[in-house]
Amino acid sequence: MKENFLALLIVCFSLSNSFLFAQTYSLENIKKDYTRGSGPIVKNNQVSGYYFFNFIDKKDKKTNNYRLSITDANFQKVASKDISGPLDLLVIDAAYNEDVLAIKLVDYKSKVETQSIKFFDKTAKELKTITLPFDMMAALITNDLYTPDDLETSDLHPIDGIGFINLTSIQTKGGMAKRIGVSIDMIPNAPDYKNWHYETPTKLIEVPEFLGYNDEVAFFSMMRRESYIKGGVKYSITAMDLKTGEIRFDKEFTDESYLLDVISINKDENSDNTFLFGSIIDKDKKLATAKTLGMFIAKIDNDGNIKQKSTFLWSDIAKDFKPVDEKGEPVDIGNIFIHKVITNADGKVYAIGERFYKAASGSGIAMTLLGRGSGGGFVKIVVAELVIIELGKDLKPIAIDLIDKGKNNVNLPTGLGWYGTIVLGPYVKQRGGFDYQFSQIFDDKEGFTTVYKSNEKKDKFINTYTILDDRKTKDKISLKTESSKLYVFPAKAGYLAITEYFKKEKKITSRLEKFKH
Amino acid sequence: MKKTSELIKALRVYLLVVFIVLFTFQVEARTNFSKDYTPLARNSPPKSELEQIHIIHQKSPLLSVEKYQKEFKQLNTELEKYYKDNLDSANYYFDDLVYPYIQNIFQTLVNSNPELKELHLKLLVSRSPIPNASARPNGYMEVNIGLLRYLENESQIAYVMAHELSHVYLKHTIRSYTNYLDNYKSKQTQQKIKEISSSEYNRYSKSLALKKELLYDRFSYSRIYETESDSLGLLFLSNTPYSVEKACKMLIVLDSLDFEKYKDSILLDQIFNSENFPFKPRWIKENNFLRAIDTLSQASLDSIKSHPDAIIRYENAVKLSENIQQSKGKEFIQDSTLFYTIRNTADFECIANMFNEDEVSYSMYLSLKLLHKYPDNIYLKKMLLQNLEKIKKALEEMKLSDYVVQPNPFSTSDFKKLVLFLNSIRYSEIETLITEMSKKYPIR
Repeated sequence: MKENFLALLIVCFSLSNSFLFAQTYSLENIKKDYTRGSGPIVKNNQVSGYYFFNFIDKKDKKTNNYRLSITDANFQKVASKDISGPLDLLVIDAAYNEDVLAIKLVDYKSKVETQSIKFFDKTAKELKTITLPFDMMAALITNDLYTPDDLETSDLHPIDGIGFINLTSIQTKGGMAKRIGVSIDMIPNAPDYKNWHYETPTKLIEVPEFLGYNDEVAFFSMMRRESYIKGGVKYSITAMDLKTGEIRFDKEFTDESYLLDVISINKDENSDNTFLFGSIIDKDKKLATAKTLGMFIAKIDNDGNIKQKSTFLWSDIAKDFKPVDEKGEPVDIGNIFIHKVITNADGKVYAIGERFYKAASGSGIAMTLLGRGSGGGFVKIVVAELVIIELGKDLKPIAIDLIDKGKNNVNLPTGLGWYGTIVLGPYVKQRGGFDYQFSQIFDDKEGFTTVYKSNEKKDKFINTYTILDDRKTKDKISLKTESSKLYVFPAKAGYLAITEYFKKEKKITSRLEKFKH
Repeated sequence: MKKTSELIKALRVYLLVVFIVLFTFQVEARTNFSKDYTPLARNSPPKSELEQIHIIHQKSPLLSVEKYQKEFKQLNTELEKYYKDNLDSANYYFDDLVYPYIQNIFQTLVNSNPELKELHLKLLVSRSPIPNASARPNGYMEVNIGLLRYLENESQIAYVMAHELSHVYLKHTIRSYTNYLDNYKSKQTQQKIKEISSSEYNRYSKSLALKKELLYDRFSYSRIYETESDSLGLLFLSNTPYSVEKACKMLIVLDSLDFEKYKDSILLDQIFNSENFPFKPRWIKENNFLRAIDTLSQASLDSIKSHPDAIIRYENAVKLSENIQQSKGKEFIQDSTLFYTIRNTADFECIANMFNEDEVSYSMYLSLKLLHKYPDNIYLKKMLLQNLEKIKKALEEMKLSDYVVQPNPFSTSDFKKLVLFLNSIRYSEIETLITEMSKKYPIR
């Protein structure tokens, strides 16, 4: 205590010439790493601020005090609000929809099977709280409670100016075993919209992924199966009306040769149509073991009719562009997992992905031979270069860039090695095996930056690859830190936001780093 | 023999002429701010200054405090260490212009007030651009170069010093921390700390409330001390040949310190515009979706204000000065041109000091403000380009945040815009910008 007093005196008499405003934003007394409850506030594709939801202290036997803090894009404090809630409140998702901030919370030790979503305005004023059913077992099975540090994975999706779409894993009944399904809820904040609810029909296994939305509909990719042992996996795109929840179409996209596996969508700025992007697989192959053969881009209307389509095979790209690595050595394209597709103001489209391939796992084989194999397999996935495919206005590839970032190995559990890359790609993503973090679009869509991790001589880096004004620039920041945990968030154009949690000091600090572009 | 004396006479005349020419040139160089500027010499402190550090701390008022002896003794040791480590040209002025000028004022004050002589005080001129002066409880007093940019006459500098000397004379800092310690160590506070430590619930909010209570208590004392020092400072000043009347306005000047001295706006779109590389509106595009206003701190601001309102202070000082018997004091005792030279020099020195400290946003800001006033000043053009070079280096090394601050809602609109601009410049643009600016602002 005495030391504290003397330290205080000395600080008070400090003769430092420092006269600057703090360049970092700091939150004190943070006893748990609640960084998952933190994130950027995005408006018009630009980061306009950040929110932080943290545990403060215990209020009483059954309640804790939590604090919601909002900052602007420069980490200057805008507002804060203290909230009380149950003891084991876990932030499982948070999103901002240009008007309202929604935080999805679960009391994970409670027997009460509900989730609450709290809504705040941009001054941290609490607007409302809604309660929805929550199935802890289903959440655990589908990994809803924990996803790796992938900022683009979420179950609470902002629909700008309208509301939020919330996905919750459920267990559907039917037959002997319970099956995993989904409930989808529209929670509007705009007056012209109403709540609607969708639930997987009984006797069906359904795993959805929210792809995006346009002015009228929200798109989901759905993997369905009748039972865990019977029937094949079916894959379709479901479009739901934003106002009513009505299913506008539910269809499997194929052409004469290929099945189209949609990975992401983009609204066509020049019409009511929507671009679908994804991988192509052989139509006649079993979905589970299929290999991705290439990529497609299709333009569809809101009834699911294809208006324009372009497909290209990885083998064609290899033939036409003869891709080489940074040392100039030829690269076998193999499979590319597409993370994001970005359309620039000049009409150019960029598909951002990572090359990955299957390889024999030395450690898996050794462990099995030594008799210590417990679920370890003979096969691993090697995640290699970042790949950026540039497409012209006619959606045909015009260039390909391979960016070396070192290789990552993801060992596959026994049995999974038989699956095709169409299944293994999402598996690696769920395991956090890809290095891709997120992409930031510059104001007026004049360019973009892709952010990805890399390992160099045991040191970790966060890298940026920017395409702006037809110029390509790379940069990197070392992630060497004394903090317990470090997160990189999107920031205002040209910057990255670094948030660190210091367990010993019980604090979170955030700062901005400008990268070359 | 005659020849020799004539030679000596001629040599004397020659030396006198050389001296006059050199002196005139020096004054010219210092005062002709419209053309160029040479930063003041970074002289090392005189040996006597270094030798006195230990002597001053041996006679420090901190050592004669009866209560909390151990704590104050340790503080004295820490302060002595600080001065031993930092009394150098990087932090303080020992030049031949500002240093003797300010020392003269200090000596006038001390010599006119015998009670101050016994305090073993020491004055330093700090390189800090913050417009402030301070008195340490160990007997060291500091006047920041940043303050000299604002004051209007020599009497005002003297009043600032007299005010700070009063703090030392009245042992305000020692009393403040004794009060703080009394409060902190009181049974009531210790009981509260104990309760908080052992309580299971609301520990953080309770400890925050206690921290605020202790802080507010300290600041409420602080305001009383400021009023006391205003009055005693005026009495000290009245014993000098300085004008009490002209000095009082210093309190109003202090109130304007939150605003920039030079009111003309920085026209970024004109300064950084060139035919080959036109100014881009996105460089100063602001994202105003979320406005950083901390309502909670705003509400508490009045409680933690250490100084009473300047207008009230000024009115009180004027009333008091009317009752003070003073034969008409002088606004200036030293050459008034020297004061104005120092006042302008302080502007340039702040630019130089901030540049040396890599505070590019502040150095650039003041350079641009002054460039508006002195458009042909070579030094300012040089600073503009050299600050841009630092930004280039920072962008190369991904260390911009070490050189440029982020926009802050509490800064002036001009500064905010400049900071937005400096943060928006892209790595791919900086080289071209420097090339274009070196053409636009040539250094002859």
